[in-house]
Amino acid sequence: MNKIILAFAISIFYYSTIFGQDFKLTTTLEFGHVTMEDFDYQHDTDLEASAVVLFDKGESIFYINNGLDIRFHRQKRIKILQNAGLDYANITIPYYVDGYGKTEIIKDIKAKSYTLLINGQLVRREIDVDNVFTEVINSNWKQKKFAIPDVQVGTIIEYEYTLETPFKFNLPDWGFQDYIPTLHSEYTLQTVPFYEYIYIAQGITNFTNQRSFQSKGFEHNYAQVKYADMQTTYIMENVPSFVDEGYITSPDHYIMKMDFQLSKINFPRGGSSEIQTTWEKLNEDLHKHDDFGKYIKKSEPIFDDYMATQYLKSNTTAELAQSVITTIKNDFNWNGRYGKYASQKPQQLLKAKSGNAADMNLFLVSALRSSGFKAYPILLSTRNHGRIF
Amino acid sequence: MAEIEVPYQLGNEPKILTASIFDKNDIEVRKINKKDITSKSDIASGSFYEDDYVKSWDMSWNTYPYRIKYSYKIVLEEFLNICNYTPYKNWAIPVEKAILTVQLPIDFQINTSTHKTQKVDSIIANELKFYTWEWSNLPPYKKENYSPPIFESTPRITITALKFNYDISGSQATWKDYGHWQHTMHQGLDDLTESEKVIIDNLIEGINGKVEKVGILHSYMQKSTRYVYVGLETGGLKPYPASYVCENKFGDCKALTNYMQAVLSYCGVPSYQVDVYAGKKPIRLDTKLPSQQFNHVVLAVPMAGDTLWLENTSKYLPFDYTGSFIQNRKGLIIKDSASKLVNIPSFDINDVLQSRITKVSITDDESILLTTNNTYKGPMYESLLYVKHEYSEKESKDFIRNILPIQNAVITNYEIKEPNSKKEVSIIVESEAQNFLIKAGKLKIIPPLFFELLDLENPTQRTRPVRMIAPSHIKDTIYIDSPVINKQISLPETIDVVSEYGSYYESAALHDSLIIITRNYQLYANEYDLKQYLGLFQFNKTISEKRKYFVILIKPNE
Repeated sequence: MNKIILAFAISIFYYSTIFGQDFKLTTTLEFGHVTMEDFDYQHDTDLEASAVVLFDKGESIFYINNGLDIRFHRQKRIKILQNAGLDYANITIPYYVDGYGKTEIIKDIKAKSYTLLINGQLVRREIDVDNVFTEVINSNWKQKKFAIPDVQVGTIIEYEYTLETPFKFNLPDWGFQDYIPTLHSEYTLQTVPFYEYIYIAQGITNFTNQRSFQSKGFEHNYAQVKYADMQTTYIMENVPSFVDEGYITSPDHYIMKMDFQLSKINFPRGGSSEIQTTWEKLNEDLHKHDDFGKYIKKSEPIFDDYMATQYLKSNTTAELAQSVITTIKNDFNWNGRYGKYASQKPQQLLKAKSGNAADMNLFLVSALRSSGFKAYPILLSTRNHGRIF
Repeated sequence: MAEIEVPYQLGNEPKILTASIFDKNDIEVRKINKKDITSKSDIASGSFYEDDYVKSWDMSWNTYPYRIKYSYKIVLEEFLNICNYTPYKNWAIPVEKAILTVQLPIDFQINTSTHKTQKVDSIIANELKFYTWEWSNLPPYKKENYSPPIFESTPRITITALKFNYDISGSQATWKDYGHWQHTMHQGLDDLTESEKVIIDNLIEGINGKVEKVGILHSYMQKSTRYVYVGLETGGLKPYPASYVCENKFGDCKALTNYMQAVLSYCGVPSYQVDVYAGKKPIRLDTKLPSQQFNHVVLAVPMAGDTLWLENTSKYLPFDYTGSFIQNRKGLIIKDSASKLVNIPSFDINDVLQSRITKVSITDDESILLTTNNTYKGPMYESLLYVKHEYSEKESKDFIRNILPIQNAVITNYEIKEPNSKKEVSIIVESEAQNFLIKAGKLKIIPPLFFELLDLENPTQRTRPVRMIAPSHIKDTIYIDSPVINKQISLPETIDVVSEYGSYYESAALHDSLIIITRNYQLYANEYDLKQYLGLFQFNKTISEKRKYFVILIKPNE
């Protein structure tokens, strides 16, 4: 059922030598179980490393909550090696709020520090929930922030949290690489038959280990369909720190990560809906979309009326086209926001005289069409938004 | 200009009353709706978290000119200032007209400080006092090099409440009163935890010297804590208690300074917090207006005949070093009923010395090997401490490349030495460069390896004074060695300029195949009004003109 193909169906760790050296994992991967090996750890291949990620483990599962929602749980352990690495003890966790009542939530944050004093005494400190703050970034994004207490050079910090999301199109992605070395990064995905995903593994030729199995235990029952979870784990080990070189488009285009995309929904009562399979299908979907294709169609008569009130130079066809473009450019302002969907009704746009990139450009398409031209919208991805695969 | 922002603190949410756009015919063409207004966190850069927010909305329109009009209301329960107002929304945009009206209960006492603001109307009606200020046709301001912060030059008005309630009640009638309020608010915040006391006892066991004690304790704080700013409620002015730092091992300047004070006090060393406006280009205190004009706090530790000014947020600056961040300005020492403004010592000309030795070996093909051995004090010392500890190899190289006298030099080797007890740090850099000599017909010219002089506008364009908060002092010795140059060298005349602004000396001498250039540049810390600006400009220009003729020529073989 799933497009994620198994490369290694084994359940023991497979240590890779892709980075030209043998790697031996000494840390325990269990949250709360810091070992002497963690304290003794010195990063001998990257002397500049200000800190090192001892492990980073994430797991996404589907759970029943008035429908199926996703629960993402993450645990991360870092050792601070230099003063410059102290900032890794200041944690921020962004999450999405759609503004229409649906939201991701972050819960069960735990964070600890472990410092070994010269006299051999181990000092443990835990964060107080009162010191977890929420920053409002904009109307769609917030972030949880906390500073882990009692951290100095040599300290080991770890934290965990759970993110619950109703947004199936937004299955948490996973970054295997950071600006500091990562010894062990692991992402487990427990999928259900109802949602299918495809992924892009950027910068990754081979996972150190990838294993997949049907989870044991009871079958679940959702909408009278019995099913078993399918679990896949992706592991990368001894990942070097990401070096930000000059003149690259964006670190986000090169850093090792997995991006997931919802590709298909299988309805419990039968039938399915392809989300994004081919460019042709995407094209078709966009044409049917209320705030894209349908928007252009519906707005044509409204913009016809508007264009009728404008003085247009039309000695030649080229001049007429230019004139339509200039008129709209002069009469409307881009509000600085990007997007492919119109954010307001055509009537509202005429009143507000400003809109996002889609408002402006879809309006222009429709105005050109109503002036007798063949005009089509072109979708692209800005540098910040990322590459098109 | 058309993006409107209204900052506020949690609990003091502004009510946006009206916001409309009017076109050139003064017809209201758009009303801003509630859904056009967004609220988001407003956390200053360098802070970790604050409960500050900003409401913002866009008021741009498609045709010019257009007018925007908006109003909002904020209700504050606790405040120190009634207003801190400038008619400018943006220094670069002229103001046609601005009016400020303040309405107060008749017996409400205030302190007022105005700058370039005169017209005042005050009337009494219905048991209320009304004040009105008005400005018209204010010009835009543009950036002028080495000028005091623009804030000091522009029209503004600050009104403070003489008596206030902010956490606890206090007064701003005098600096003494204001300091007393802070002192009172700090009571009980020196609560070191028992386990912290044990650590401190161990640290200073057997240490008797006061200076030594302070050094050990300050160094312990530097090692065990980190700077994290969290500002909540009155947190902007009230420090977290010492126990907060003991437990978290982090804090902002107030928390770390309060903690350090508690630690010293526990060890029998009295010290006092000193409020200061920190930075390399600080806004000068308005000494006549006792009020919250500060952005930083340090600790003054009185010693026999001297004072230590402890900076508690730097992980690297030595405890007995008064750095460019706080030097040469006034601060408010918080000493209960003896609180007062004090002068924080200034850099002496020798405190900022950059002593640079450069050796240039010209090889046959006119490429060079450059050995740089520089010792820095003052601001460059501070920067290099940071570079040494926090920068990656690549960042360090980029930083050092900018120090070298030749732009296209390629660094082959470098070392930032351990800073020494004289509060100076040395760097040794080896580099290479190609095409060093400049060809002019049959002659060849050895490039001067100058450093940049001041970049001063023509006096006719200057409108604001100059403020040099710190002096500059550069001593250069440059050795140029080459088998090719031999004795066909023409040396320039010595430059020797001395003035009330500073001095410049440069001379070249030849010893066999070695050219030695010595240079000494001093620029004093001072403030110069527009009249003196002419002199400073002339001083700078004279050096610049003379340097044009300071050319070392290699004549062709005859």
